[in-house]
Amino acid sequence: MDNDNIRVIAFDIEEKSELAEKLWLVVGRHEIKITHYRDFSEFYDGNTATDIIFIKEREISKNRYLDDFPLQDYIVFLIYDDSAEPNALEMLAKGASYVFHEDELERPEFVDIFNTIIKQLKNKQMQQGKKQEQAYFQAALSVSPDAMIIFDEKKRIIYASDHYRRVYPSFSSLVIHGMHVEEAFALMSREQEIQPGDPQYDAARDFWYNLKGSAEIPLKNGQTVRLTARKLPDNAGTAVITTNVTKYREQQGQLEEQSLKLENLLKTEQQASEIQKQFISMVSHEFKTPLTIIDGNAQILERRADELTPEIIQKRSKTIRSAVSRLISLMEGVLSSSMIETGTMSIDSTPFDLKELIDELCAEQEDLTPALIISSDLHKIPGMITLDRKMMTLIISNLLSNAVKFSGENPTIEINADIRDGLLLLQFNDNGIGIPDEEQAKIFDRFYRASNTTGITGTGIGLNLVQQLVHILGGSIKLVSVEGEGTTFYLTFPVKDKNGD
Amino acid sequence: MVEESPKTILLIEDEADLCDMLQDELAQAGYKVVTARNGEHGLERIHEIDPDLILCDRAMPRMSGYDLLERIRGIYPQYADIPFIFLTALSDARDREAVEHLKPTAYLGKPVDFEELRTQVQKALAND
Repeated sequence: MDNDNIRVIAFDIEEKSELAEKLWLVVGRHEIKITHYRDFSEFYDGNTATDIIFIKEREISKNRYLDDFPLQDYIVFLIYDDSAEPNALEMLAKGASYVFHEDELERPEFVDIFNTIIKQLKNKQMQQGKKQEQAYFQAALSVSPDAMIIFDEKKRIIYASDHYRRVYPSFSSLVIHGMHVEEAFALMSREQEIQPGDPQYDAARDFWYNLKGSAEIPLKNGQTVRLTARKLPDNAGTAVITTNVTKYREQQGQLEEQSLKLENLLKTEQQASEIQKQFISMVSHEFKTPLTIIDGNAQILERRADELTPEIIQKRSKTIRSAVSRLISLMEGVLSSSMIETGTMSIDSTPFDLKELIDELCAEQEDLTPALIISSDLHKIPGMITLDRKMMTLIISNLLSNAVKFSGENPTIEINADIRDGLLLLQFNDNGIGIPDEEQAKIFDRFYRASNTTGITGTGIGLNLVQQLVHILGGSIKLVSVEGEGTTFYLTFPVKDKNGD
Repeated sequence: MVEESPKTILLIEDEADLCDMLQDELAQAGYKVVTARNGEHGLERIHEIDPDLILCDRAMPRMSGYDLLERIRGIYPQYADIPFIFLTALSDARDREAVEHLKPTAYLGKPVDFEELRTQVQKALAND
């Protein structure tokens, strides 16, 4: 170890003089430099600190500065020569620690004393250094975001950073140094108001009692900390580092939430795009079928015009017309649906004969499907009813064609109507394939087609359109369906009762 | 056609008007036409009459044309030689690719030109 920190000065002892050489023989062995001053005033002006002072007797006797200088705070060697023998007691009283004749500096007594002094100084400085180190260490820990608590090998606290005093006020009023970890835990759990059986308590207890691994503990104040135990080298004990992970956890939570949102968004987007693709394919298929009928029949009429009987021409023409009306209703469905989407659908409410409309639409369906049997009870509908006729046509024809489409070889439809408390009630019942329970909630979604409709043509906009139209008219639509048995739709519309008219 | 007995075509189509029209057209061309409303029905007919050619729609209730051909290719090797022609509105490239592995004899899109239909049917029967 170097002794840079021990300072030695000499007054009135000329450098390179015989006396200086003698001192150097002893002091130099410790690799300590001696700073020489001509007299004390030179040193004092420089305001320089020191540990050991060598001073000539005549300097101490005559220099008036010395009267104010606390010589007793330093280790002062007074050196005299043959010119004057000082009164040793007087000198000691003035602040000298040791009095030596200059010839005595070569003797073992001086060497021993000097060596001992250096040793003591070194010890003292080391102690001070340690204390300062400790102060720095504590200051550094107190500004660190992480708290630290250190246990000795017997699990007694030897150090706890200030964080603990802040989080656990009772730590500051008690002497925690030397406290056993179990006692400390009892204090902490009391302050956190947690008890045996609470998951936090059990997790925290496991950690503190074992002082191993790590644990994440939620605190009373809403923060979450992660405790990590680290064995100190040479089995000297354990340090527990406490990190506040509240923000981190929050951010992680937010991140997870956001990525979940994004994922869902993407999924929805993908589903929408897949549904859109299916829709386009279905629509093109739906349009192509009647177009094929029209084109095929036209080819027959064109090519075999001369050999066709009037009956066949009539039959072919009729088929063409029915395909055209199918195209028109398909187009109207798609158009109305997109008008609703863009908000350009407007209501045109005028009184009309609803009973007549339903009969017409039923007749159309029966015409298209000869096997269809429709029974209806419409006598409760008043003569004229004020609603949007076009929308009602779309609603009813969609429900009827669905009922036919999703029924087997012998479709049967039952229609009932009633009017009650200003509400028009309509009921459509079929004996079709029904809608699977778990899909009934989705059946009104745009483009949604139930899983049991594979192979049955359709665009998946019909029921969505019906629901939207019903809502535009201020009504409601519900369904009861049993797969394999049939479906009943219940519709209500607010109407002004024209019964009394 | 210079055959003593007319060839039998099984026409599988769920659209009544379309089925009727095609039946009329093929009968005019000199074929005996048997119809079925869906794949399931069609399979029964195949067992019954052992047709010379199958002309089949794709999207149909109960059993689609795709499912029918898959079944023929998979579990009825005795019908492997019957020419199988799709006549369907599912006519874009993706739709065609989806059935390529089942090796239909021909794939016709709707609406169909009758000349083309006759040519394809004749060709398929000639190769038979």
